Amino acid sequence: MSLGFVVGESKPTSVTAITSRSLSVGEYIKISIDEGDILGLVERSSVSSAAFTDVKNFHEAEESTEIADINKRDKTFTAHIGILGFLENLRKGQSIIPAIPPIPGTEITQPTNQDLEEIFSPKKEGWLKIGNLLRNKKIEAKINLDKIVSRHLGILAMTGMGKSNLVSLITKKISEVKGTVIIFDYHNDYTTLNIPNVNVIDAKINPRLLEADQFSEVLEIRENADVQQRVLRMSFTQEVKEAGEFWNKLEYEVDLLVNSEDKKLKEIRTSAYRVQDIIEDAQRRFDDILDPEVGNPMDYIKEGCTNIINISELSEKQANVAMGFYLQQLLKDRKNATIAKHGKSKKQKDYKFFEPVFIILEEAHVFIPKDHDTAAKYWAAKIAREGRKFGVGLAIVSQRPRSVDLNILSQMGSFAIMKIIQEDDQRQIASATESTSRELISQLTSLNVGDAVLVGQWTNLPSMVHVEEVKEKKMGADQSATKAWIKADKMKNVGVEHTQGLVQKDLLLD
Amino acid sequence: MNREKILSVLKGPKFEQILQKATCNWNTFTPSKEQVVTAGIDSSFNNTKFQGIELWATTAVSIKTDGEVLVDLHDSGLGSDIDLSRIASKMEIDACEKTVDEVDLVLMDGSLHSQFMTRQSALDAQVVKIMNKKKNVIFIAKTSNTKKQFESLGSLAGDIFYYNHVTNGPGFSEIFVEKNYGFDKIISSTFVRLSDSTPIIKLEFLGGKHDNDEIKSIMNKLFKTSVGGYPYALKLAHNNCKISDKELGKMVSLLGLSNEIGSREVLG
Repeated sequence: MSLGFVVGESKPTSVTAITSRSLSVGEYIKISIDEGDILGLVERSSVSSAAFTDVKNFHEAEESTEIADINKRDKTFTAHIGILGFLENLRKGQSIIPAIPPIPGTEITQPTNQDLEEIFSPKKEGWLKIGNLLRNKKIEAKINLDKIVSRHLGILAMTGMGKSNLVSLITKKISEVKGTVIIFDYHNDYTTLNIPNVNVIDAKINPRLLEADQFSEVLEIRENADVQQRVLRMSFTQEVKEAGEFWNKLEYEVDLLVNSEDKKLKEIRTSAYRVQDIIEDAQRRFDDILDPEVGNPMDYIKEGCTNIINISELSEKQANVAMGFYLQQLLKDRKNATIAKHGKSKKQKDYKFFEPVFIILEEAHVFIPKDHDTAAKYWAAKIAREGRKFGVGLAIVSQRPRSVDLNILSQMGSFAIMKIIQEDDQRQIASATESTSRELISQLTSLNVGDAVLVGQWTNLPSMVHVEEVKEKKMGADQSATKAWIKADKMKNVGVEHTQGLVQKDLLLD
Repeated sequence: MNREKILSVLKGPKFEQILQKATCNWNTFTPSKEQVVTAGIDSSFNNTKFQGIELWATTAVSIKTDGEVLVDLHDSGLGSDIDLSRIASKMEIDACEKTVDEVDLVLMDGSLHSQFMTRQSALDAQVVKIMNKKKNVIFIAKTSNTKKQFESLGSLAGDIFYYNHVTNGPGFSEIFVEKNYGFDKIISSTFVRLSDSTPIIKLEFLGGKHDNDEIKSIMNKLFKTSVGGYPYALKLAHNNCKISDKELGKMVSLLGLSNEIGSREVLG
C-alpha cells in the first residue's frame, strides 16, 4: 500500500516524503529503487493545515475548522526519513547505504511484518526478546546478548523511566542462559529480584587487601589532610595487613608514632592523635562494612549466578573503593582465565570465573564522574577498553549522562536511551553515540515510561522499542506516601476499636 | 506621530455629512450559514526577461472550497511586449465558463468594473454572456478605489473607507447601480462585512435588478465558507494559481534556457 512519495531534495542518507497519513516517529518504511528495497526510519513527522496557516485570531481559527474539515487537500503530512540501508543487507546485519539517493517521486510503502522480523527478531542464537517495536507492535524486538558482553552497554534515562526494569530484564535473560551477572546495587533496588540463582552479597571491605591511599579513603580521612594520610601510610605496614589482630596492630603502629621520641616525627604527633581517633571511630561506625576477617570478597561472587552486591550501606567514597577493588579483581581474574584457556600460562589455576562475566554499574555519574578521578573510574575505564578481550562486559547505568566520563561512555558499543529531557544530557549522548542521529535524539523527550531507543551493536538497526515489564522485580517504583499514610491511619483506628470492644461497658468509668 | 493631524487631511468640509450618509446607507445584517457549493477563480502571470526576449507564463484556476480543482489552465511562451494581463483575464473567463454549470456560486477575484469594463474591455461581451448564463457569478474584491457614492459630497477617500469608518459589525451597503457601460452591462455593487470586525469586501453583480434580500441570501452563502470575512475558495484559488520566480526558474531550466541566462556569469 502506498504511503506517499519522496519529494524535494533527497540524499543517500535521508529523504523527505509527503504522505497520505501522519507517520509516527520511529515507524519503518520501505522505498523501492532500481538497486533494491531500502528501509527507512521516520525521524521527524509533521502535519500542516492550509486552512490554519495564516490564522490571525480566535475567530478565524474557529471559522477555519469548518474549512479544514471539508477540504480533503487541506492537510499536508510530511515525514523526514533517515535511510538505514538495503533490506537485503540489513537482514544479514549489514547497513549498506545506497550510492544514489532515491529519485523524488519514488513511492514509499509499508514494509511487511516479514521484512521487519528478519531484521529485528532474528531467529539466531544469542538473540533474545526484550520487548516490541514501539510503532510496529507486532514485531518482537530482540537484542544480541553476545554484543553487550563483548562491547559493553550504556543505559541512560531520567529517573522513573524504566532503567532498573531494563537492567532486571537483561539480568533475567542472562540468568536464563546461566550467565554470570554482577550488579553493584547502590540503592538496594535489586536485592528483591525474584529470579532463580540470585546471590545477594552485602558488600564488605577487607582492609588488609587495600592500598594505603584506598584505606585512607575508606576511613574518610580528608583529601587535603596530607599529614594524617602520611601517618596512615607509615602505620599501615605489611605486618599490620598480616597481623592476626588487625585493628590492635594498626593502633599499636600509630601509637608508636604518637609516642616517638624522634624529633622528626614530633611534628606529626598531633596528626597521629587525629588518626588514632579516626581509626577508633571507624571501628565503631563501619563495623558492618570494614571486616579484616572477611577474607577475599571475591570468594562470595558465584559463577553462573546473578550476584547483587549491595553497596547501599557504604558511603560514596567507600563504595568507590569497594567497586574499584571488585572491578580490578574481576578483570584480573578473567585475564588469568583467558590466558590459561589459550594455554599461554604454565601457572596453576589462579582464577575463579571460567566463563565471561557481565558487570552492571548503577549510578555511573557518581562512580565514573567526568570531573575527577576515582578508583572505580580507573578500573571501569580499563574494563571498557580491555574487557572485550577477556570476556568482561560492562553496563553503565545513569540518569545524568552529562556527568559521566565521556571516554568511558563512548566505549560503550550499544545503548538503550530512554526519556531524557535535559539538553546537556542529550548532547553528551550525541557525542558518545555516533550512530544516533540528531532527529532521533530530539525524540527522546517524547518517549514514555518503558520506551527506549536502542542503538549500537546489540541491534541490527537503531530502533524504538517498548521494553517488556519484568514482573519479577518488586522494588524500584516510587512509593505512594498518601497510600501509606491513609493505610497507617486506618490501622490506628482498627486498633482502637478492637481494644475498646474488649472492655465491658459497665466497667467503664464516666 | 499625530494621528488626528494626519487623518484631518481626509476630513474635508463635508466629512461628517459623508459619514452620516454612509451610516444611512448601511444595512445591519448578521448572516447565517447556508450550505452551497462554491468555487473561486483567480489567475496570475509572471515573466522573466533576458537577451531582449521574455519567457512568460500564465495560469488560471477554478477550485471548490473542498479543495477540488475544477479547472486548471496554463499557458506560456517566449516573446516580447506580451499583454500578459489580457491573457490571464481571458483564461479567467474560460475557467469561469467551465465552472458556472458545476457549482451553485462562482466567485471571481477582482472587480468586474475595473477589470472587464475598463482595462480589458475587449473581453466584456464574453464576460457578460457567461455571467448571464446561470446568473451565479459574483466578483469579489478585497479593496476598492471607487469614489462614486460620495463623490457629490467631495469625498477624498474611496467609498470603502467611509463604510469602514462608520461600521464595525456585519451588514452591507445599499446597492449602487452603475449604468455607464450600456443597458446590457449594468453593474450593481455593494460593500459587505460578513462578521464582526472583519474587513469590508466589495461584491459586484451583473444587471440592475438586485435587491437587499438577494444580498442577504448571497451573504448567507458566503458566510458558511469564509475565514476572516473572506471566502476561502478565493484564498485557495489565489494560492493555487501563483507563479513564483522559483517556478519560472524551473521552466527556464526545463526549456534548456539556463545557459542563455547564465552567459553573463562569465563576467563574474
